[in-house]
Amino acid sequence: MMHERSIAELIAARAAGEFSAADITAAYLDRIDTHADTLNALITRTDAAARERAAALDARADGALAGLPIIHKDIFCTKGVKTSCASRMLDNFIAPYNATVVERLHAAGTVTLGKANMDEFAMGSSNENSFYGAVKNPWNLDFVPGGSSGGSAAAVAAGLAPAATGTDTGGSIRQPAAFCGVTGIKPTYGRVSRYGMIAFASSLDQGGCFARSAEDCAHVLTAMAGFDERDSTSVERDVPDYASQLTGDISGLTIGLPREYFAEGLEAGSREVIDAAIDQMKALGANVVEIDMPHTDLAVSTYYVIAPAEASSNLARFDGVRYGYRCADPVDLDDLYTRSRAEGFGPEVQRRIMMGAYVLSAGYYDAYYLKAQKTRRLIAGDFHDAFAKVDLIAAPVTQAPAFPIGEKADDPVAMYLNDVYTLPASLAGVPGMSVPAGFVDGLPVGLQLIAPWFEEGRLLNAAHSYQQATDWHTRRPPGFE
Amino acid sequence: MLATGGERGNARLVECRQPGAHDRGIFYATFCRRAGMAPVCSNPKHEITTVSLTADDVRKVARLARLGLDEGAIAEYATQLSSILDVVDHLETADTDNVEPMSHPLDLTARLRPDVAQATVDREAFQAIAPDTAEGLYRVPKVIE
Repeated sequence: MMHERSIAELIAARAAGEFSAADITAAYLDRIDTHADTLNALITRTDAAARERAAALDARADGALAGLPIIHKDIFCTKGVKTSCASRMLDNFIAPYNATVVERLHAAGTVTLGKANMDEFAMGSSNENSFYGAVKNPWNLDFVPGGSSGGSAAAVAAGLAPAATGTDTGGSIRQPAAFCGVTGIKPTYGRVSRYGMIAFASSLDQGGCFARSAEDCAHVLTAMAGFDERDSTSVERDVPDYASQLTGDISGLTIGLPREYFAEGLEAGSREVIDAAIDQMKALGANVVEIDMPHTDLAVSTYYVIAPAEASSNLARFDGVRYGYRCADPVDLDDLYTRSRAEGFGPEVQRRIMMGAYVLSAGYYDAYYLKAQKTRRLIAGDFHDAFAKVDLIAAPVTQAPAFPIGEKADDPVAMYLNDVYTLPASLAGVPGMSVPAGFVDGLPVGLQLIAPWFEEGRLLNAAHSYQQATDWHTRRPPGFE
Repeated sequence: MLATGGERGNARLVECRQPGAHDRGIFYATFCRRAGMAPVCSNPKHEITTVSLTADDVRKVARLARLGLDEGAIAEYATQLSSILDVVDHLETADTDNVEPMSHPLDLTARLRPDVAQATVDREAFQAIAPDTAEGLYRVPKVIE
């Protein structure tokens, strides 16, 4: 079966003439026909463009990923294709240019199959905050796929594409990867260009990808990453060929287990899965030590000041004037602004904008925003201290597996507390992954691996080594085999 | 009235900063706010002060953010934003004397480029997606009478 093959196998088989890019694209479009609606994983399908693109690639093949189908999170601008960010505000937005990520993957030869559903403006941990409706978890359709990149994670889990792009501001790649049982990587802040990636919280946002294995992620990330002068936070640093760093050997690697991530709150079933995964890493020759990251408990408070503050500034651009939603019959300019924004943004986005406006407002800035910038440094300091002693950190991604759709939808705080293990790495800007590590009651559990800044190769190799010894990442949800 | 362990899934944690016996130093307060009560500590002698946003506070931030809220939605937003502030208030427990604020995770500053004209955007393409334009300009309701 086409969708059982790894990215390297697909590329090689096509290069050998076993099948064409058109064959690969047709096979995945068939799977999208069968499953995409059940999951509500896609906002836009680009079938005709995909077929045309695949045929063109067959006529003139080039690029490291030539013929590889991919799905882009609907936060990445795709020229001539609706780019909604899952918001009513951008329901009519046809992007006039491509995001750098889209451009680079295109240059590597990928075929875009469609745009993935997500939480509106990437704000959410369950993919229930979408103007286009909730995405369902392929492992159990009554459960959330995680968020905000829930459509991307669900699509890869269900075999609708070999890979999908995502973005991670506070866990939006790692948490849905964990909930859907796929491999996801959030690179170092600045590693992947944010140009054309609709901004949420600019000091945290980072693009990354989902695939079935660390090896597949390595191929995609190599094509995505790299300096871009159009993103002022892009880091000028060479990108290695990550796939060539996958030695499969982690003997002698020191892995730190932060006590704070294994304390009260981590559910027993998930803990067993994570403990078993760590035993597996030991069996592969890693040294495992306990470490302290004493400021971990500040991460939720810090994040929910900084991210909303930056969001309220970034989302000021949606004014109903230049693009996006405009309310009907505005009586004056103020009415145009206030009504377009109230009607165009969903409730979670409005909450975060107001929260951000509050913490940045006169009299509160020092107590909230400045204070949070200081606690952010304390949290980053925990990572500096940890990486002076260990090569890698291992932890759970979430306290428990996916929760039922609707369970936390009315309680923003319960939803925020869900991010407790993913926020610290985001605040510190270090790369992190979620790696499938087992199941609790039929729902996947992810092992989080975190590496020092720009050590994506080490991170991917650790995940790859683990996946050479285990088969959790090869499991398919029943009904999506 | 205190939320018990069974209600944790929907409870919000707030730290009581007063010395004395605590249920692990935290108490559960969403519950109290939902019931229209002030949040309380597991030590009944402790009085907790938390920031509660009033309806007027919500109207003010909505105004700052140019969000035209329905009057009917304001009370719910006040409760939710107050709950979020209770979580955020935990920041006060951190000693940040002599800690520099961190505005960039790699402590880098924005790169500068030479001040040379570059390709400009294609106005027609960009205005094709605008709600209302005329003669290359964006149209909005009349601002000056």
